[in-house]
Amino acid sequence: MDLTQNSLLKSIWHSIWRYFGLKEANKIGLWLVELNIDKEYGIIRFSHQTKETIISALSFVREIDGIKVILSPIKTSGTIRSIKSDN
Amino acid sequence: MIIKFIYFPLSLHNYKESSSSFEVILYLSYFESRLLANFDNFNDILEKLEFCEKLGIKNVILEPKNNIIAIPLELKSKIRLETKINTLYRINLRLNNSEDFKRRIKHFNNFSDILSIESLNKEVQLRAARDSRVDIVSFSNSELIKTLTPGVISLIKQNNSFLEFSLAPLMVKNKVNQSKNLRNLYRFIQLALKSKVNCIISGNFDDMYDFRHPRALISICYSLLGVPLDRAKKIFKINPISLLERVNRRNTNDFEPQVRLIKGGET
Repeated sequence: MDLTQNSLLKSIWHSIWRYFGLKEANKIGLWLVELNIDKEYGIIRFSHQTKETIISALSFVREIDGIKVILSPIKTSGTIRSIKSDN
Repeated sequence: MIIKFIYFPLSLHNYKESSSSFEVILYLSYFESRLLANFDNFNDILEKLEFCEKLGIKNVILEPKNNIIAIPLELKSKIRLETKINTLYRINLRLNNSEDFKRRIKHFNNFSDILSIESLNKEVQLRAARDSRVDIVSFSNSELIKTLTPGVISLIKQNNSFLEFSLAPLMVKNKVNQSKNLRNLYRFIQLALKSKVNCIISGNFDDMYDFRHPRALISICYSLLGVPLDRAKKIFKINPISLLERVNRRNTNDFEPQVRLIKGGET
């Protein structure tokens, strides 16, 4: 599957804009920390106040570049170290 | 804040969940309260349950698509053997009028699974809300939800049964329909919250690629439907357990708290 960091971020931002608009989007501070295509997981970083917004936005992503996908959260943490240690 | 997510492309992902004991599943995890499956096709059930397992869903209430009155025990035990997910069952009746309701409900005396009723007819909704055999009065699609009235909510509350909404209407592609559905869901969920009725929110997704983990649905409820986070968690975690307790109570012939059986002639 041809999933790139760009296309993934573009889809997430599109979802954020569509459902939450500018007012929420400017609070998020979204970063894609890691994307592992082989193991099919990714790690994103964002402001802790917008956790529910981000999870909702991820849930509404249904397609990336015409390919059906599900972005399902598996773990939330305050530090990158603890989230990476769970690999 | 950092979030780790998995994504499922067209090939299924091989993320493995560690197995937990039944008690942990029941008290610590969220429920998908409505998963439609074709009960004539065992592979369809397995495929859907497998998909849910990969999403990390631990408790699922299965509903047959076809008009089955009772789910065979052999099928239930077969499903239990094949999957790690805690599966429960419900039957949904789509009824047109009161006569239809009377005719079909009599088959469900002492029913061991969850019984839900769906109808566009207001009279049927009121009867279902009053009937103790009915566990859930469901308003799970965009047409049904518009027929919900405060009278039905009040009766459901009095009877201690459950009101059901579904988030499936939010997964439509058409933006106009999606925003209309969002508006309706928001209005009626707020009405239900205000009246403090027992409420269940299910996914009820038809397409497997619309399936979402209940935790994600909680976030949608909180961020888009204005449900406070603690209430949303209760709806997905505690209310389904209360629903199961109601079904168990019905089967063990226990009375509601503060209700006493008075023998004939006793004053």
